[in-house]
Amino acid sequence: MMPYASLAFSFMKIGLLGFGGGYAMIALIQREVLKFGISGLEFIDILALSQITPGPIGINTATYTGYRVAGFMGACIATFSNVSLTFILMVLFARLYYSAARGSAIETVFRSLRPLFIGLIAASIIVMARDIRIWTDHNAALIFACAFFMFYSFKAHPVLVILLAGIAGMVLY
Amino acid sequence: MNVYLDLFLTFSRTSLFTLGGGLAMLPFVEREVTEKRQWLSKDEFLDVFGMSQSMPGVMILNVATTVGYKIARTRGAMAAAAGTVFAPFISILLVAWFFIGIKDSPVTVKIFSGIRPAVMALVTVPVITLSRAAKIRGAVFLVPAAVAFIIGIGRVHPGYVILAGVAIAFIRVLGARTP
Repeated sequence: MMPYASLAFSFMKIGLLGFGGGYAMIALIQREVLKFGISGLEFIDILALSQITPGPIGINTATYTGYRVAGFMGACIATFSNVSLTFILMVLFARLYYSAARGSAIETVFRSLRPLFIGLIAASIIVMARDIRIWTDHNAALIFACAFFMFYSFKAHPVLVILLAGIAGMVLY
Repeated sequence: MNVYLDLFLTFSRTSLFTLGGGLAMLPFVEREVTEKRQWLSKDEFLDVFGMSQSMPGVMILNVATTVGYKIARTRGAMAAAAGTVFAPFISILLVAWFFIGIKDSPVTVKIFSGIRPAVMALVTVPVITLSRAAKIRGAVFLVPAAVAFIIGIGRVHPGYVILAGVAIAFIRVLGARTP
């Protein structure tokens, strides 16, 4: 019974506090899944898998973690908890929008939060760098540099880069 | 066709055929919703996108919920949200089932040792592009730097930082409105 309750609680928290889109949510999920014995490294693997399967990162990570911790029921509970509270909020908000009042005040608030979201993404990168040990593992540093170059300069598709990085891993490690 | 079924199928199709997360899905959803189905006008879609980004949770799911609500109220919202979740749920479940079986094999360990730095690079790029788009410079740079330091080095739970940030932003914006 316990893993179900704590899965539900964790993913409700992620759903409600997950402002700023998929990348900004990573820091929060990364921290919460530690409680379920999912290491920083395994979490990066989950991110990779969620990039090469359809759907948003937020849903993919919830389903995977739930399944890993408590099987099919765990996957259902984590996914449902992740989306249900936000769903209720969003229906209330849609009702407001399609009546007269517009959500402009709330939009102004969240536009002013963009520096926070950027900080959250940067925080998740620091945690990843430490888990990967990028400062001492030269192969990892090399793959990071190449992948960054492909994403940033050539806007390469994530699926392609992840595939190439996998091949590089087979050769280098 | 039944309107609920139509919403469910439309949103499961858009989330099934796009790889790489919510922002990658957005253009497909836009085309489906504003051109093919004509559920929303282009301007309306931009509004909906803006407020979906302001709300917590999965952005593309918030878009689907709002569109569903407009077409068929709460039950429409449920159909659209369920459609968005359905395909990713099934596909990642299959992947999880497969991956958990092979994740400790030597070959998988090698492959994922290579993939991890690439994932880190993937997450690094938006820090730079978003900083440019938000014109982060000068003293404003202290905010993301402090957040990254507090969470990344200080290991403070991101939830506290998010709550504090949201509270401060609300006070500032509301304070600026009522002199």
